[in-house]
Parts: sequence; structure tokens; C-alpha cells
Amino acid sequence: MARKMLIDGELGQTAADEKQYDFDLFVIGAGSGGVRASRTSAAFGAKVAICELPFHPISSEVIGGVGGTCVIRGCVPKKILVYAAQFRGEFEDSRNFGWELSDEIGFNWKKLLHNKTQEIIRLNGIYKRLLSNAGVTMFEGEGKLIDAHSVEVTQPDGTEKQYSAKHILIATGSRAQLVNIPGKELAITSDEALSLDELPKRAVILGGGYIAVEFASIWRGMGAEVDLFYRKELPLRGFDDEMRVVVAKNLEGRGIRLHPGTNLTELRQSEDGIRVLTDHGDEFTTDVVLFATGRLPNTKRLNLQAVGVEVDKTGVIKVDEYSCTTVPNIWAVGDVTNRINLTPVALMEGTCFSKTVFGGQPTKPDYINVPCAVFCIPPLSVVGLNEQQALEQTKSDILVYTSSFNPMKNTISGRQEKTTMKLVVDAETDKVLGASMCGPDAPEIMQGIAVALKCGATKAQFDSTVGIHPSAAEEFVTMRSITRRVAAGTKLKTNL
Amino acid sequence: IYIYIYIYIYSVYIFPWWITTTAMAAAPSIRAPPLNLASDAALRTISKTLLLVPGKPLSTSSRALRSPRTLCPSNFPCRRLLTARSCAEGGKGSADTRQFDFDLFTIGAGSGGVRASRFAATYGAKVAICELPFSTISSERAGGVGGTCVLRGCIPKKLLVYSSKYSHEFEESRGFGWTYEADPKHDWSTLIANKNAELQRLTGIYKNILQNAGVTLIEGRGKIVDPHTVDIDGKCYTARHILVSVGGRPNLPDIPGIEYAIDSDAALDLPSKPEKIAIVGGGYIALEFAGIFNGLKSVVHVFIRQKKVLRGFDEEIRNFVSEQMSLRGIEFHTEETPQAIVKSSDGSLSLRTNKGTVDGFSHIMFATGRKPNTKNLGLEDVGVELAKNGAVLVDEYSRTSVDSIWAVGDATDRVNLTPVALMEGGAFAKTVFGNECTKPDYRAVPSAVFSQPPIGQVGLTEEQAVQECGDVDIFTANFRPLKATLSGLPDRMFMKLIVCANTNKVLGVHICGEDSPEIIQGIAIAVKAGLTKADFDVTVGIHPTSAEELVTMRSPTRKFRKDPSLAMTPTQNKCFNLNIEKIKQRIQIHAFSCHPIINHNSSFQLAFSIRYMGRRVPRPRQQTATAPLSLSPGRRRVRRFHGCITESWNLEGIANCRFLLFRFGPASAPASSSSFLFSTISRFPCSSSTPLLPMCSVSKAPSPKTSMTANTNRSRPSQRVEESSEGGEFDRGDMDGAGLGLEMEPKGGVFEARILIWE
Repeated sequence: MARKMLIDGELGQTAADEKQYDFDLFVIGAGSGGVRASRTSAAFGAKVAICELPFHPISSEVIGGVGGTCVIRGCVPKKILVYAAQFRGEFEDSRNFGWELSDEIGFNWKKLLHNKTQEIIRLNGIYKRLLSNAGVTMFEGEGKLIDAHSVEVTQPDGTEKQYSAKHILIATGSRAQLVNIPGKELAITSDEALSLDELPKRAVILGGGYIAVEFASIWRGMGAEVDLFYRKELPLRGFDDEMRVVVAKNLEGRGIRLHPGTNLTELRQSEDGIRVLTDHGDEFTTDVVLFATGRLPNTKRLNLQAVGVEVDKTGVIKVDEYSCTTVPNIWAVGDVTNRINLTPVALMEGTCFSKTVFGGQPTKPDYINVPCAVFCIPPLSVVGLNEQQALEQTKSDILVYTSSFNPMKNTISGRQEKTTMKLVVDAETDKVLGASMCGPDAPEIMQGIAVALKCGATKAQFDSTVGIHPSAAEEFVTMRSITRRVAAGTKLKTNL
Repeated sequence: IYIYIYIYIYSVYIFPWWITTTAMAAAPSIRAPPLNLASDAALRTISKTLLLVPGKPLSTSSRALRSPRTLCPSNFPCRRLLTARSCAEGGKGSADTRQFDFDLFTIGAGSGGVRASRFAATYGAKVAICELPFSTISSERAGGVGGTCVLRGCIPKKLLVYSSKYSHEFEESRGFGWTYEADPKHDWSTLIANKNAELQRLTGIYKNILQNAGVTLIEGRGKIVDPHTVDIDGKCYTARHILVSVGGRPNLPDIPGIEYAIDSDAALDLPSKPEKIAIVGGGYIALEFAGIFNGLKSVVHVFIRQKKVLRGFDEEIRNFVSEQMSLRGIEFHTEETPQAIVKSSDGSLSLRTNKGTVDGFSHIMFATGRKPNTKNLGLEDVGVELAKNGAVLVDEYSRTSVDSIWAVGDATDRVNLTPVALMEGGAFAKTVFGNECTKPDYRAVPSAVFSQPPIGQVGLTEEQAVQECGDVDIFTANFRPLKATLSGLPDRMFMKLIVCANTNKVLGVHICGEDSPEIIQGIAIAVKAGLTKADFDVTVGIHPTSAEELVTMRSPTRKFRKDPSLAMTPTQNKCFNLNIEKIKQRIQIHAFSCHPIINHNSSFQLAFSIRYMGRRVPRPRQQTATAPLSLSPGRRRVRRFHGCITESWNLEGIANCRFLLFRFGPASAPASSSSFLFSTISRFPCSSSTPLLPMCSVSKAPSPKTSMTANTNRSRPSQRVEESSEGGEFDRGDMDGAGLGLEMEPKGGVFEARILIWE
């Protein structure tokens, strides 16, 4: 098939500037963003190469794998473990529904791990096939910039090869970081947590973000004693305060011990495990300490500064709205740019990049109303603005509708756990600005709500939709009475 | 120009003497306006029916004394078309100056009645409601506050669904590392006791709701004696308006032995769990109960008169759900009409149908429809028109042919869903007591079937959309959810988006698979708001969920165009699993029929052929021309496949080909006939040194029509695969542009692809 003419985003270029390059696009990093950008660019007719580190479940400077964080060390394995952990609650709930279970239900962590690894290897293979089907050339090894148009790939055997490319895309993602305290080498990150040899009986987790609460739920569901430490009053900073309260309550309800406003100061190896010291002077002994305290972009060994690509203090690559770095033919997408660090956002950025550079349609990723989910048990899912943000960003009053109810399943199971939903509405335009839900199936429910919000659905349109009975989701269309009206300009307390 | 002045509200507080002469004067000039061409089929039926029934005496009741003939000015006959009356006439109805006991008397405290009464009371009306005494099984004499939904429908049904789903979850959990010393056992009596306790609680809540709203609750059977009077067990109450919301009840056919059968009321409250149950019917109730009993480990046979389950649903959903249910062990008997039930000496029941007899049932349940509870209510006597099946005929405002009598909910047999009854009840209260003419809006009403797996749908089916819109694009996804990749169970998920090609509007969405009802609710808001496919596309997915698939459907599976050269007619599908295995230089195909609705005695002759560059690839000599695919009845738990056929081709000399085309169809028909031809392209392994990959049970239902669309040379995998790291990659990708065309990689492997054959 004859290659299509390249339609280049940079219009100023003249034919005289056209050099011969090995590739039209060289992508460093085959995670969600990189793979998407490569494939869509290839579909526009570009000659594309991509490099990625060898596969391994635990990442490092020299190990990664096609598929990236999402597939190998993030969303997918995490959700598999969440599924596994959810069953404990189901077993408990099933009794009042008439099921007689022997008291000792076993859990074989090794089997789960094996099945999970199989699935990830399978997905890794699929991603490789996707790339080769799209006509993308794959190199295994570590990519590094030489100049604005050259990439050097260090192959696993140590040999180095250099390739030239008209455009370079950096999609190297990020990695979990350890907090710098004495004994930190005893701690693990989420990478290791997804592949532990033994299931811990006792676990200490440091961090209040989504990774921390998800692992707390996972380990608790698998039967471990879990202690969760975080600096703020509530977990999940950045989410709606009201929902954060609900999540904290649910975590506690499921047997996780919360330690708000607490930091870890030191870890020590002891005979019966790891001794953990807190800044409150308490001591805990545990089998495993997970640091879920943030992730840093993988930019150290890319030689970025040498070619003039600017990064910020934490190593985040600075990009413009079209994902272009400070060097005009070098681009970056995904977690390495630390915009919204979600797989679907990286996909969007990757697609927009291809459209801009090879599709002749400059396209900006749209970061408004991006839904997201926290897969704690039960999960939290949100889209749009939270109450605090709504007050900051709109001039009119805000109408808040909340509903907290006992899900039907719990009426029989006896589980004391409410599902909470919240809608934030602009009082003047009637537009729904934000929706959140914490309860079973929240992520699945929120996707449709996100479609509605994305195109500016009003509360009236929510109300005119007939409910699905009996479901949890129907509550979103039957919230008739305003819980409160918050006057424009009100400041909410945000020290939580 | 038809103008009216609407002046009526809060009859309690405002004396009606002020009814203006304007309104009265306007009345005579009100002619029944042209038939409203409402899309609602029910309304059309009503108008037709009424056209055929010219005026008959208004009230034949002996209590004619109290009958307010004044309601209908003599020059404005009451006997007229029900369509398109103005709701403002409600005002005239209240022109009556007499005193009534109540402003509203509601008969039946189910979803619609309770909602209407509460809302009317909050508008200031004085309201009474009557309901039969509580019982889990309904009859002429028993009911209970809360109605069908709470006591004999949605709620208890879903509680049983929850309970029965656990067995599937236990199975799933094994793949996630959970182990059991002994298989979990189910105790039916615990479930039923807990369920009944919950129902008692709910009926209490409903009573409280009514009480708190100031509604007078009267226990007893209400009977209308004249347009303003209800008799309850001998005591008469007068009311300005009467609302009939008596709901419906299961309806059993009159066949010999029917006394041994149970209906859904009884099935929800059986003293013991059925060992082996026959469920007659293919509607949603039948499927829900089939799922419940199957999950609780009863042996379940479903008998359907039609070829397929769920008449009225999207065709592909109908196929998909029955296939998935078969995989879970339910046996379907299609095109079988029950003729008699026989009880044998050992107490077991046999069901005789037009095709044979199946023995050994502990229970036989009929889910063959429901009928409105309108008998012996005195409706006909006061002149309320009923349809043949007993449904109360109403206009768009839920008013019957008698001005002061209204009806909502299943009694009117419009869209028989709780939320619709709520909507009708709410609209009624607003219209009559809230000073706001409100018609219930039946567009884009979402609904769910709590079968296992469940279904969620909103808007038009593919067939309706093609009929109404003409140019339609269909987007489908059929994938293995992440959970199933670990559990190893054959669970799949099917999603379909129907888009009008001209306006880009999403006309319908249909989902079958885990969480479908929850997923569809938010989507329903979008469909109701008239959103476009582009709106779906710009929405970012939530990863990893099943629902994200709905916002990542990029290329249509098929297109319908009014242009006759491109027009396609929906056809019937049959599903097969195709397993292609490379053994050295040969390719071998196993086809497994997994179509659930296959009768015991049916059989097919199938022919395969492989094409390469337009030429037929020769079959090895020793191979017979066609192998019969014999179909054995799907035994319980011996699942997945009903039959198997294996054929081999010699691929020497074409090892470097880009793609192959498999053809597969009934042996008798000519290969060129597009009426049955299936075609799909599959990757195949070219290098004999590559080891065989483990079988991934991947299957995809490419639409029959795809191969006919212009989409033939698509040789790129679907973009969706990337997001859907949830598995099912081949189906979502490779088979997606299905029909013709996919580049093949020289990679080894074994895989299956599901094929559709259409006739």
C-alpha cells in the first residue's frame, strides 16, 4: 500500500528542510498513551517506531513492558485484586440470603497471583500484536534522546542503536516513590504490592490517595489486618469532602483501622515483622509497609535537558495544550506530563497528538468533566466539579442534592453501609456541574452520568428521565428535593 | 383556533362558583380536535376502540341520583373520543358545587396509587385510598399496601435475584483464589423468611408514607357505584375524583391440569425450593425466574411459544441473553406450546406440549402474561370503557371515558413499569390538583430485565430505528469482561448503540451483561436529553469498567441506508463457535454450535470452505465433503457446546498469504447465496515453529449484515482494544470490522471466533 502523504502540523516547514529520517515518529514508552499515539499515527500513514523496556511486573529504570503501568502495574491488576477482595464481603452478605458457607473459606493468594500474571502476560502480548498489526516497529530497550531528532536505544544485551525521527513522543509514564524516612528500604510500592510472594497478615499503608485506599480495601478483603496512615483529616484529598467522609466511614466499617493526621517516622526490621513508628509516638508491628505517597515521572535518564526539553522540579515534562514540549518536534503525553494521570486521559492525549501532528487537525485534549473512579470497597466515582470547586468556579448559587440510602441488598444482608450520591447544580442555569457516588457499582453507573454531564445536561433533564426500578442508579434521577442551597462565594472549610 | 382558559385548582379551598362563563361558553365550541397522532400505540388503540362504540347511556348505575350529569353539559356529550381532550376539562369536572367526602378517592395502594395520593395531598387535596388486606399472593380479596412492585414484583424478585446470583459469584471466586471445603448450600426457608420480613417492613413504610401525607387509608375492596362514589364492603364514600390504580395480576391459560401450576406470586413465596421447574413463557418474568431458580440450583426448563425469548426487545439482545442463560445451565424449549399438565402418582408433574412431554417437574410455573385487575370494580356499570383484556382506556392525561374517573399504572396497560406508574401518578396529581396540565412522557423510558445476566435498555430497538429513521448506524461490542478473564467462566457482555445517521442522535442503547441495569440509567439521561454520538465520543471513559465501552465505540458495525441498494433486512441469526487451530501446515476448524434455542431433534448440515485470494483452498483428499453437525440436547452443566465438527485444509503453498476467508453455511445451499453466507476473516498461524497458545475463549458475534456493508477491506484492528484491556481482544478488535478483512500476522496460535449464520 502506498504511504499516504504526511500532513504535518508544522505548516511553516518548507520542502528544503525535509531531511530523510528513519521514522516519522519515534515513541519512547509503550504504555497507554504511547501505544495509542503510535497506532493512530500509523493509521494516518506515518512510519512509526516505539521502544519499551523488557517486561516485568515490577518496574524499574530498566524494566517495564509493553502495555505500561495500566496493564502491568496499575488499573488492570489492581482491579483483578479488587474483584478478588470483594468476594469476602459477598460471602458475609450471602448468609442472610440463605447461603450456608463453611466457616473456613480458604484464599489461595498464589493461585490468584498466577492467574493475574497469566492475564497480564496475555494482555502484554495483545498490545504487542496491536502494535505490529498497526505497522509500528518495536524495539526492546531503553530509549534516550541524543538530539532533537535522534533516539538511542540500549537493548537488553547492552548494544546501542541510534534512530532518527522527524517527531519524537515521550510517553514514559511514572513510577511509585518511597518517602525518605529511616528504614524506607523495608517498605514497598504498589508495584511490589501487586506481586507479593505471600499475602500479608498485617499491613501498614502510608498515604491517603486512591492507591492507598484501594490497597487497604484489597488487603482487608483478603483477610489482612490493615492500618492506614495519612496526613490529612480524611483520605482522598481533592475529592468532594462529603464523599471523603463517606469513604472513610466505609473503610472503617469494613474493618480498616484509620490513622488520620499521622505520619510514619521510621521503619525497623524486627523478629516478628517490621516495626513502624509514627509521629504520634505509637508503634506497630506489621508484615508489610506500603508507601502510596505519590508517583514521579520517569524522565531522569532520558537526557531531556541536553536537548532542551524543559522539565519542572519534580521531573514533569512541560507541554503546551497540544502536548508539545519546549522543543517543537518533541512531544509528551500521559503521566510523564502529570496533567490528569488516568489511562483514558493518556489515550485522549495520544489521539489528539496524532491528529495534530499527522492528521492535519490540530486537536487539544479536553479536560473538562473527566470522570474517574476509586476502586476501594465499595467504590467511589465522580465526574465534574465537587462542591468546593463548584463554588469557586461559578458565580451563581449552588444547589446540592444528596441522597444517602441503604442499598436494597443490605436490607437482607444486614450490612450497615449506606450508598451516598450527590449532585451539584448551578442554581441559575440548572446545569448539573458535578456528580459523585460512593457505593456498589458506582464506576459503572457514573459512566452514563458522565456522558450527560459532558454535554451540559440540566437537572430538569435528569428529572425527566424515568428510573430503572429497582436499581441504585435510579436515585440519580429521583432526587427531588434540594438538600441545601449554598450562596455564591461561600468558602467551605477545606482543612480536611 | 382552539383556545381554552384553564381555571381550576385546589378545589378544596376554592369554591367553584366562580367557574367563569367564559369557560362554560367555551365548552360547546370544543369539538374533539383531530385525532392526536400520538406515537403511543395504546392511545391509538383507544381511539379506534371508541370509534367503534358510539354513545351509550352515561350511567346505568342505580345510584344515578348521585350521578353528576351536570358534569357533562348536554351539548357536550361525554361519549366522545378519549384522545386529545384538554386536561382543563378537569376544571369543569369540579364545577360541581356539591360536597364530597374526599377530593380524591384512590382504589389500589400500589406504586401509582400511593404516588398519586401523596402528591394530590401535598397539593392540598383531601385524599382517601383503599387497599385489600396484605398477602404475598394476590387475589380478588388480597393485596396489600405497596402493591405488586413491593410485595409481588420488583422488590421480592430482586431480593431473590440477589440471593441466586451468589452461586455464580461463588463459581467466579474460584478463579480469584477462593477455595471451599464444601460447596455452599442454600437454605430456601431462611431466604423466604428474611424476604417476608423485609416486605412487612416495606408495607409498613408505605403505610407511614400515606399517613404522613395525610391520606386516609381504608382497608377493603373498593367498588365504584357511580362516577363519584366508591363502595367499600358496604360503606359508601363520595369523591370529586376517583383514581383507579388496581394494577394487574398473573394470567394463566385454561389448559387441563392448570390447577397444578403456579404463577409468579406463588413462585416468590414457595414453601420449599423447586427441584426441577418448568417455566412457561418467554417474557421478562419467565427469564428472571429462570435465572433465580437456576442460580439456586434447581433444574430449569423454559418453554417458549416463539422461536426466541423476549419479544419486543432488540433481536441481538434476544439472542445474546438466551445464549448466556443456556451457558449457565438453563434449558430452553422453543416453539413449544403447553397443552396439559399431568400429575403422576409420585406427585411429580409432567408438561405436555405440542412437541412432546417432559416429566419429573416438582413445579410448573406460568409466566404467560398479566391482566388488569378490573373485574368486579363496577367500572363498566358507570360507563368506564375497558379494552378487551380489561385494561382501563384512558386519554393522555390518564382520564377514563368518565370525566371524574382516572386510571394509572398497570390497570391501564400502557408501559407496565413501576417508575412509569409513578410518573403517571405524579402527572395525574399535577394535572388535577396542581394546576399544571402534565402528560406522562413515554419517550426513552429505560427498562431492565433482571435475568442473569441482566439487560438494560433505553430507546428504540434496531428494527424500530431502521423503520423510523431509515439511515441508521449500529455500533456493537461483544466482549469478555475483565472479571470473566480471571474467573474462567464463559460470561460475556454485549452492548449496542443505535445512532441516526442523519442527526447523529443516539436513538437506542441496549446492554446485556453484569451491571447492565445500573449502567443504563445514566445513559438513559443522555438518550432522553437527545444527545448525539459525538457527545458520547468526547466523554472520557472510566477505566477499567464495562461501561467505558459505550464511550469508546468508534466504528459502526453496520450501516443501514434508505438507498435500496444498501438496504438490508434484519435477519435471524444462529451462533456458532469456530475454533481454528494450526497444526503444522494444516488448518483445522472445529465448529461448535452454541445456539441455545435449538430443539432436540433439529440438525444441520454445514459446509466449510476456505478461500485464499479468491480461490478455494482444496481440502485434503481423505476428508469427506461435509460432516454432519449433530446437535445433542444441551444437558445441564454440560455446557457450551451442542455439537462439534472438525475439518482440515492443506495450507501448503499459501503460508505467506495475507488473509483467508472462511465460509460456513448449510450444506444444501449454494455457496454464492448471500442469504445464508457467513464470512469472517481470521488470523491464522503461519509459522509452524510457533507454539500453540492456550485456547482463549474468544468469541464475537459479528453481525450478519457486516459482510454486506461496504466495509470489506478494513484491515486494521479496532481502536477499542487498547482501552479494553479487559480481555476479549480478538473479538473486540479483529472481528470487529468483521465481514471481510483483517491482516494476518505470522504468529502462532489457537483461537476461536464466533460466527453468525443467517437464513
